[in-house]
Amino acid sequence: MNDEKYEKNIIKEFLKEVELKLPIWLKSDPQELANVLKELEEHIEDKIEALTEAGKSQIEATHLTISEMGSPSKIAREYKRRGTPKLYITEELWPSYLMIIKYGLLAIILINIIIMIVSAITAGLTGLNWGTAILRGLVNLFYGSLLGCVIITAIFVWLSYEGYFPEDFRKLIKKKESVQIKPRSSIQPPKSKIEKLETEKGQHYPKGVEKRSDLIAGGIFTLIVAIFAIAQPFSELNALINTEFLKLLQVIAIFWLISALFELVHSGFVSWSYNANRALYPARAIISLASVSILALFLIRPEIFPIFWWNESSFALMSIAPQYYWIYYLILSLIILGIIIGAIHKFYRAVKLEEAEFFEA
Amino acid sequence: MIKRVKEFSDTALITQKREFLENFESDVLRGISKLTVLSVINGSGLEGSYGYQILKSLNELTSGMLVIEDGTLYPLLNRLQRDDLITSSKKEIAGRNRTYYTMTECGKKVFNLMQGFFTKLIEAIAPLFDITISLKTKQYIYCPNCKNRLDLKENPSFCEMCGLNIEDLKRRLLYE
Repeated sequence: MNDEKYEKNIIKEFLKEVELKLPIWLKSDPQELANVLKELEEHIEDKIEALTEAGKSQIEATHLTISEMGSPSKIAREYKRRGTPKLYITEELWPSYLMIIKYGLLAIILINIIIMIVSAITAGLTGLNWGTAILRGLVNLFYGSLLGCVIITAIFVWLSYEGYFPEDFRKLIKKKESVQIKPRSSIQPPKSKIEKLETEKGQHYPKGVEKRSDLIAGGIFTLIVAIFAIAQPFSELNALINTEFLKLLQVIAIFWLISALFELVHSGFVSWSYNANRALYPARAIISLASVSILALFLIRPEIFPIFWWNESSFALMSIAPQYYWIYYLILSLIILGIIIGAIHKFYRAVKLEEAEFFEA
Repeated sequence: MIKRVKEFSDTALITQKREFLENFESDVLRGISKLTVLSVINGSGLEGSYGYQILKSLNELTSGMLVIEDGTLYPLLNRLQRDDLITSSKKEIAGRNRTYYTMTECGKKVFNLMQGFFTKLIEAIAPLFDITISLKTKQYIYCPNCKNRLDLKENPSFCEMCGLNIEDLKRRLLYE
């Protein structure tokens, strides 16, 4: 009996290790992942059965079978090796790469043109001439394009290494067909629970977790805001704003940046990894709570908060009049309260997660 | 999938160009693995074969000469399936629900060409390594255009891969 338990543990450990190392495109499809693991498990069982029939002890047969399976890393690497190499990006991903580069550059150019126009308009406020503002814009355009190309290329090299194909993204986005889950016996959640996981769109989310699309959208939005707040690209405008406010903004933006990165990482694990969800929800809650300290500094310094308004033909800048401080206190207190409630909710989600609802459990 | 030939040790003390040699062996074995797995699945006919059975057959057919890393068979099957050379279906036999792999129509044709290419390649390079290859010329002919292997029992008039008329070739072979 003990032998049987020991044997099951070895197999379970091996399969867990394989699962851990499999590429994300495979893990993001619960049905395919369950099929892969089930096939490996069946193979192991068949071989152990054959070896025990040939006279080996149960433990010997288990050890021999596992050793002949090949290392989990090698199995996972074989799943990743599925594209046709073309430079460092696979041929399959090449058209998507060119398309993203094209639209990425277009977006960078558009953003820079908008920044240039705003800089040119606000140039008058600081005494800078239009020419200097546009020249700075062109330099930003060059560096922005360069950085964009490098980041997109690095992402596609990584995707190629992971063995992604364009259809994997389509599958991730759509997943229209209702998935019939048949995980391996040891990981099969109770039937009623599988039914609970099914949403209207046929996508599977364990109870109590956010949707992947929400996390990605939220993460990207926060990331863009954070980059703007850290870079503070409108130098002419910055000259008018209290430097203490700008510095505090940069500090809080670092928290936003970390929070955005965590959200994006979380989006990759949200539907299938119990352990990742257990770790990421509290981590995100702690980051939110940490940002409250900076908001508290904003709260005690209402005089540094800038307000823009349109004065006849240009933007003007002013501070909040003391008689309206109470509005400032109220809004900021509500924001802080919202962040604290959000953080508590994240802790609550982490505590309430049920292992059986995740496919890796 | 195929790691090495069993009679050779992978811990042999090779001090010169070890990495080059390992890469060379790995490249050759990758192609051969595809061919051998397709060969076993093709041999299993309409009934198909499941993972463990494929490796078991391969082991028997090669007289246990190969060291195979069992787990890496499945990524290979996954790739062959994606390339539409094989197809899989779930079957419950003797109380066990298994995934059976069978050749697709396209897979059968491609496999014929693959084995034709491989056979003719081995025949062509055999003299370089001082080995002798004897092809079953009474049983198969090889399309001179695309190297496809054609079974004479089926009395083909055209190569099913490239459409070449092979009547003349057949007649010549009969006279020989």
